[in-house]
Amino acid sequence: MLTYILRKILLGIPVLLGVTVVVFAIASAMPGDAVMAMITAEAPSSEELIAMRRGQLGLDQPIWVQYSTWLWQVLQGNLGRSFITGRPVADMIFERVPYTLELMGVALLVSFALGTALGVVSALRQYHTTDYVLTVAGFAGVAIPDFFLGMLLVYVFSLELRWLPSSGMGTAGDAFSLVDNLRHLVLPAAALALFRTAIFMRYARSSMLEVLTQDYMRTARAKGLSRITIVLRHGLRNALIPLVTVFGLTTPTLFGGSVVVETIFQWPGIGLLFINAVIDRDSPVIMGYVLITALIVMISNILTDLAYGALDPRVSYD
Amino acid sequence: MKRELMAAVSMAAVVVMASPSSAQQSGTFRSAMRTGCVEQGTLHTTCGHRLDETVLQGLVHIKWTGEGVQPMLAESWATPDGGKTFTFKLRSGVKWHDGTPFTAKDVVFSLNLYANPKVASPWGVKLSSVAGYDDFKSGAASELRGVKAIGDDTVRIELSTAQPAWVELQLIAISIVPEHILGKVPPQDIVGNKFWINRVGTGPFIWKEYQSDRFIEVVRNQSYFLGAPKLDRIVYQIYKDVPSIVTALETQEVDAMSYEGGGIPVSELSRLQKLQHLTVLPKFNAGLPTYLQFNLADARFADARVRQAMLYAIDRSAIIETIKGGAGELSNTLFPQAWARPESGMESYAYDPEKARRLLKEAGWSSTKPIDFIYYYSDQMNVDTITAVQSYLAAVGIEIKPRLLDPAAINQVYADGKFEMGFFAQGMGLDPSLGEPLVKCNAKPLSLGYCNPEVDALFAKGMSSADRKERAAAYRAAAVVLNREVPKGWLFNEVRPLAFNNRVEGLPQHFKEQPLVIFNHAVYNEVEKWTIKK
Repeated sequence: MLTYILRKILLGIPVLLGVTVVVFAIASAMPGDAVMAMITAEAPSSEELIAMRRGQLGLDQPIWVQYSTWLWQVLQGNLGRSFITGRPVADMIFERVPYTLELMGVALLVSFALGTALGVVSALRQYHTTDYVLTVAGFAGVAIPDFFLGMLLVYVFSLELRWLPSSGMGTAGDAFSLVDNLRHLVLPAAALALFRTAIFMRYARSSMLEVLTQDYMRTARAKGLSRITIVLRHGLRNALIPLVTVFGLTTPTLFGGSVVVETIFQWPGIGLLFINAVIDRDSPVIMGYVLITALIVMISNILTDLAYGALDPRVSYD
Repeated sequence: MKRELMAAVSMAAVVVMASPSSAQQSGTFRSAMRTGCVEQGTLHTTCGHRLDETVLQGLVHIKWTGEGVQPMLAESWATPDGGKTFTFKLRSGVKWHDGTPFTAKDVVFSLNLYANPKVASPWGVKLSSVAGYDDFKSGAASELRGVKAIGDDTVRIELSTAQPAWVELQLIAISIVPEHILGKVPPQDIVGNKFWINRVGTGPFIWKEYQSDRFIEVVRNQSYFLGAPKLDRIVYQIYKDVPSIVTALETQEVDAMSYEGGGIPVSELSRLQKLQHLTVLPKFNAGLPTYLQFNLADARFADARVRQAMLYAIDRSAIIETIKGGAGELSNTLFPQAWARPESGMESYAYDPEKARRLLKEAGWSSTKPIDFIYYYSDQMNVDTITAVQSYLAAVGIEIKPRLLDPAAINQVYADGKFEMGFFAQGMGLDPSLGEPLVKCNAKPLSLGYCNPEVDALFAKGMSSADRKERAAAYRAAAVVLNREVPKGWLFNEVRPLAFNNRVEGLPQHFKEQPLVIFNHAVYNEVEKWTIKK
């Protein structure tokens, strides 16, 4: 088991490196750089100013020198400083992580629980009206873009009904209150959850259907066990195995955040930080975000494999 | 079990939805602000200067009426030699928010900071008339020769040439920062310094808290020199895009619209005007001329007849009536200020596609490859305008290919010399002199090959007097030349519709009296007198 994990980590390192090289190349190929992004028509800068700022930020070096400088910093545990604000990138990212975790975590958990439940119901009621209704709803959920849903939810619940706030993660300037925070969380989490609920529902339904045809289900029924026990303990437990894989593959989004939903709802998460960094050509922040996301993908893949092994006794690693 | 669960869930739902929104708390004014205005600091941003109305301050601020300045940290000043030397008497007894006394040392330090080449502040150019500025910039001197402190409460500023209106036009852009804090910071570390997210100023409100991409909270300064503010606090709420602000105005989560980013979209205006709690100013003059931008170094656009033809080819009145919902006015020259334009004597470039074709033929225009047409404003109204422009130009045989780019990419195109044509605007409502970078000989990057020494001389003349009539004569003459030579394809003078919540007493009233949007400068609008209506 340990050798398996170690091997995965060792194999992951060149992949991480490759990802950083590719992203750095793409980011550097974008027209303009951080200094260009800072110039505005109202406050034009002279060429000497531009050249000096470039020199200060190291942007006048060849690309491979810039990359090596960044990599060397990272290997020493330093993610560098933002070109725009000068603050340490690590600080900027990690202070946003709790907000992103809150939004994505709630959306993911709700969608997993709801999606699984609805998928199981749909499977148990196969070919009945419930199944058809849920299937159609599932397709709709997958098809509706989350930004459209977000705007629709704001229109209905904020503007028309005035039940919920339209943006932010809490009333600005007021001391933190859980109720206030939750009120602000409802709409963005709902916008994110619909799509994911539909996905989980489809997987849960097909997985459950497959399990229901297995011999051991017939054995359980023959043993005279109650319906609940059959469905939950024998059916769902096994149906969950592929679902865990799907869930594990979506956990990186917990940290990546959702740029679109965060923009609409002005949720101060990592997604918003990232999109602002791209527009500002803030390379250290872009690279820090990409590196951390890639690292999380790698770790969550390993954890998913381990969980899979734990759930399915037929699987073992060596 | 299932029933208890249902009951618990519904109770939670009721609690969550029924809690009153604390945005109604009295004493708090909520103002919308766009992202990217705070962290770099006052010396390196444009939109962040609204924080300099409440926390940091200048020696003087422009008044909200657009005319004249309000003495702030400077109590009074005199220029016995007609604008070459200014002696400022500073307000006494003023303290920084951390208790340190404010003195002339802070003023000298601040002006030097703005002009310091190592700080690389784009606002330093506002001090270019100060004696010794060029030496300081080139490194020959280590400070501004023309700025001297006399004792603790007087500052003398000497200019290299007399500019009677220097205070009203240039000094208003400068904010005074604390020497005892920023004096310890190396000049190249001023931009993005942690001071900017925890500012110490002299203004009516004290910086309390900043949360990135969320808000800045400032609270009442009891010992403010113009009197303690009536408001308890101001919360500047940060938004990334305009539709969220418009929604928040409707739901009363925010009280004031930000004027960066295009104002209220034309399509939303009628809905907002029906709301009782908002004062909507649909025709708020943005002081923002929009124009077709040409690279005159490109042979295709070098002939003035080609540029004039493009104006004749576009039905600008139709665009205003349809796409812009009647908002905005036609522009035929650079200046949005009516006083800087002559009553008559300018070509109106009324829609005349026949004349356009004739001029193009005379100039020898031949349809070559499509023109790379760059634009920056991505809101629906401007995108529709550009589509209309494209179609009008195509009708006379000119093909443009519009391309949306962000600021970094646009500046790169200028720097690479690859710019051909585009659609742009210049925020210059404060004064006609702010248009100079667009048309001055060799002004990079915006004059793009246009050079007329007569125009440069007229701009210089405009700065050489403080008398509105004299200045107007100079700018009106320049307006006529620019109207004839069309270095930019003058299109519209934009409006920026704004809305304000009536519950903030003083907010809509002052903006109703403000003649146009004053971008990027701290404006004195008596914020210390505003209250929240009960």
